[in-house]
Amino acid sequence: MGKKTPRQELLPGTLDMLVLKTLSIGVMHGYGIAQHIRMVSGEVLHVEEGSLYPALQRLEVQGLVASEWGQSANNRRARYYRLTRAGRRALGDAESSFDRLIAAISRVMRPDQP
Amino acid sequence: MITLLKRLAAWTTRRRRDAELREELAQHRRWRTEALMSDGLPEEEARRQAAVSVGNVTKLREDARDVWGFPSIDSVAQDVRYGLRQLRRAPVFTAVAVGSLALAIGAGSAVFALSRAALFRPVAIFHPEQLLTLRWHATTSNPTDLFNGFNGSSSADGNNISGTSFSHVTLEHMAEQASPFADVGGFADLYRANLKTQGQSRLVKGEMVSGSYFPLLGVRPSIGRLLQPGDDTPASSAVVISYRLWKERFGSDPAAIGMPLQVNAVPFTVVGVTDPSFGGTLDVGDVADVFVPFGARDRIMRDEESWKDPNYWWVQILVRPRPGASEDALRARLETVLRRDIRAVRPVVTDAALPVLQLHPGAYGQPYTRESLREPLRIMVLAVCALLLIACANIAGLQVARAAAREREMAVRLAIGASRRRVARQVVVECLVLALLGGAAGLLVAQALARLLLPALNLGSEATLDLRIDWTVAAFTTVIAVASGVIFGLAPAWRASGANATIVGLGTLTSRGPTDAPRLRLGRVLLVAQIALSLALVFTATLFVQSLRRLQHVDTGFDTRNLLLIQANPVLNGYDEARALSYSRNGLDAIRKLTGVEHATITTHPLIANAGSISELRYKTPDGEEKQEQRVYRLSVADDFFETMRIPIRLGRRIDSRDANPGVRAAVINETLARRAFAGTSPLGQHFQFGSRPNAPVYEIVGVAADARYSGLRQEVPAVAYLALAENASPGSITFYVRTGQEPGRVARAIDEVMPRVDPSVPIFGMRTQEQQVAEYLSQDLFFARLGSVLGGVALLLACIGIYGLLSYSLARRTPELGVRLALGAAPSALTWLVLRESLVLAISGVVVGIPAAIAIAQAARSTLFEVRPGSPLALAAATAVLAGVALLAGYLPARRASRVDPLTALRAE
Repeated sequence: MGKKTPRQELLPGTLDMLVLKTLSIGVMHGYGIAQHIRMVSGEVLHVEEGSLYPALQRLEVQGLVASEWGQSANNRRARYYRLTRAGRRALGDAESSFDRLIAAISRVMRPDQP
Repeated sequence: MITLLKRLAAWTTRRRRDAELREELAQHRRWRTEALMSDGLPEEEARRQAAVSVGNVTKLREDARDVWGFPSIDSVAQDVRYGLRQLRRAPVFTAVAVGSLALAIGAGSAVFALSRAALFRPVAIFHPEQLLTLRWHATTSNPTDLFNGFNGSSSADGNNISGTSFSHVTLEHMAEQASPFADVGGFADLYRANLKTQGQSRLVKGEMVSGSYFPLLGVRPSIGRLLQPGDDTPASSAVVISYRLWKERFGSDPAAIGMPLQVNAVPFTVVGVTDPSFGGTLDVGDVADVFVPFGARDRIMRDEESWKDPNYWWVQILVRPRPGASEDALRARLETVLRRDIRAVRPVVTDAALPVLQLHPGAYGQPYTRESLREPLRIMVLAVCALLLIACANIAGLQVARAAAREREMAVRLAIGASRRRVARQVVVECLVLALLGGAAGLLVAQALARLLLPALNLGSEATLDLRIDWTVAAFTTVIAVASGVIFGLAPAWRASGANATIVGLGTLTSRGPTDAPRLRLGRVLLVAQIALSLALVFTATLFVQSLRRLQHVDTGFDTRNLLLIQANPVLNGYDEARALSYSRNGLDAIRKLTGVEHATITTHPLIANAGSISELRYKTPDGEEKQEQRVYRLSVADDFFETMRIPIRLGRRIDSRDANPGVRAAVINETLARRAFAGTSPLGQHFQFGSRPNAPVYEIVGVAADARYSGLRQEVPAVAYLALAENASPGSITFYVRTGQEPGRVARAIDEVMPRVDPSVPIFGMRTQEQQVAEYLSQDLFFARLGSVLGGVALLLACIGIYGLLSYSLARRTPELGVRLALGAAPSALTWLVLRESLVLAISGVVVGIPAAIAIAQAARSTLFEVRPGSPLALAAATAVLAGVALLAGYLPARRASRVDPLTALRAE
């Protein structure tokens, strides 16, 4: 078992939202999703495989993403995930409640700022 | 909802999904490796880092699996498969465990099936739980205060008598008086009836019933019709037969309706067949094959009683209260009717002597039989519980010992991420699997076991009980199996979840240290419990064997060896008294002519068969005072009786051939009667009468015989009067007694041939030796002695295995210590003693704990035991000695191994 580096814990449910957002850009495989999140967050968010794949399974069971096997760039077999219509709707809901939540937290943390 | 369906779909394809996930993760790892390599890491290092970052694949897979499908069911299924694999790897343990569970659970189910069949007869009666039967209780020293003749079941305890038979007029009056509140019907036992149909004669059981009987019960006919109120007249010739008889004798032919049929040589016509599962309302174990109307009674029974005689009580009464009726009011009303009827014919009866009425549940046979069944059933329930607990304790103990080998496995599972609860759950599941296997095996043997246990109920060799294993028995078996599994699973599960992952590791397999002592202690506690229960069983078995032996040694007063008895009932064939007597005479003459026959005689009842005739005896003292002797047994006997039975005569003469002539009424009384009634004077030449009728026959005492047993062995010798047969008022059934030279077998075959030649239409039955008859009388005691011995044996075997297992384990653990002792100069015999001492300590603790349980079981069996005190110290000492012996035997091998310990190898294991 590896040593756990203390990491910033994501707010619960955030990972699912990040994955949905990533997939809203296009179809990707698991490794690609993890890379994208790492890069776009500026190396702050490292999604562990132990969390990513269960999250993908969860989203699939809930019907928010769909998957199929395909060929990767270098002719390797890989599983690609895409957002479903329900997933797009869920992403919209998640985004608005996330915005509300963040605004509320900042109001508490920085009461002086508007 | 969609999620649920998706989950279901995912679960069915889980294997494929798991493979796909593995492939996906492998691919992920490869990309990671490439990325790291392109960052400049060497391939080996890159590969390693990639693997490490992907992390715990197994846990990941499990987490993913938890998302699809039904994780709880999945993991339980996994546990079950795992458990089965573990069981297969330890075949001896599994065999012992499943075997002992099958026996214990099977016995439990068998007793359950027996109780249901005996106490809760499911019959084709409409709402049987509503039916009530009537029972009267009276306090009087003289039953003839209430009636002159009685036919049916009764019980007497000092001056308290009770019975379930009433007069026919009482039935009619009760039906009238109860009519707005309840329906009333009656029936009576036909005992053995001679049924002749299609040319064949055969003895069957049957009932006489009122016209209201079938409507009251709500039984339906299979074909034809059942008896109705219109059949209540003496002229009715309608008869209803049972489904079983219809199948056997008429081949289920619908043309059976309208066919002629003779019951005791009285012609009837078949009008209907009952429902297949209806067996009448006779006693437990009796199935009625034929139902005739009350009106036909006098024609069939041919005795001196009349069916409408208010002084003759022969009808059993069933009552079904209407909805809303109060049982108390009903009871009071019926009691008033009964008392009024008694007063009508006996104006002088005192109020105190009048009986009270009680209502009992009615669809389940005589309350007397049900009461007499309770104790044997209770004994068996206790024995089965003890056996089950012993089996559970045994398995738990063995499991705990087995846990030593599995500690590493448990630790590894904890290390890769299983929760303690999960590990414990797996052990419980494994135990449940074991228990259910044992339960299934037990269910298979339950019916056979139930049949083996039937003699405990003492219903006689002709009893029929519906012992089928239906869903209620299966449900009961499952419940016991699960309960047992939980009981013997608790200990190991608790131990397993406490396994400490860090102690095991790279070290040796023989775990020592702090995790060990509690396990050993638990194993010891279980073993002590097991030994305690075994003591209880062995003790009870000893008591039963003692009781049986005492019964077998009771002096019968006559010689039971080489004595044949055969029964016949010429009256069933329609013979009147004279013709029946002539049949008896001819039969006796024919038998006496056979070779090998030393003596032969006739009696009215077989001896030691719970049969007999009891009456009140009236006589005058020499001063002319009228006195009565209660509860005198009477037996009518032909000449040569005392020679055949080898009963010595103390005074006067025997009954011989001169007494066969009508007019001479000779009687021989036994010593007990002589002492009770005629003490101080010589009874010879004195006269007496039976019963209360003034014109009853007068007998003259011609001799006094030595005391001999009559109906049984358990009670004291009763007062008996042997009467000369010619004067027997109601011949009815007779028994031929034959004293043979040596083996009765050949003579029996000869009698079988000769009797049909004497009279082909009188069937003989019940040919057996007197020793067989005594064995049948003792069958319940024989059975309990055997059952106790078998159970005791099984318990001892299991205790032996348990002690051996524990001692072996303890020895393995102590080997280094023993090595040290040897090295320091201890003698090998001292080591042997060390092990044996452990064994003895266990046995003694078990015995001490077990004594109260033993005495409790013995108390429950009190009334079944004969002249044996439940606290018998001799039996207790014997049981203790047996257990100590078993403990020593079980400890023998481990003790020998202890003495052979080589100090070098023992210390090397350190």
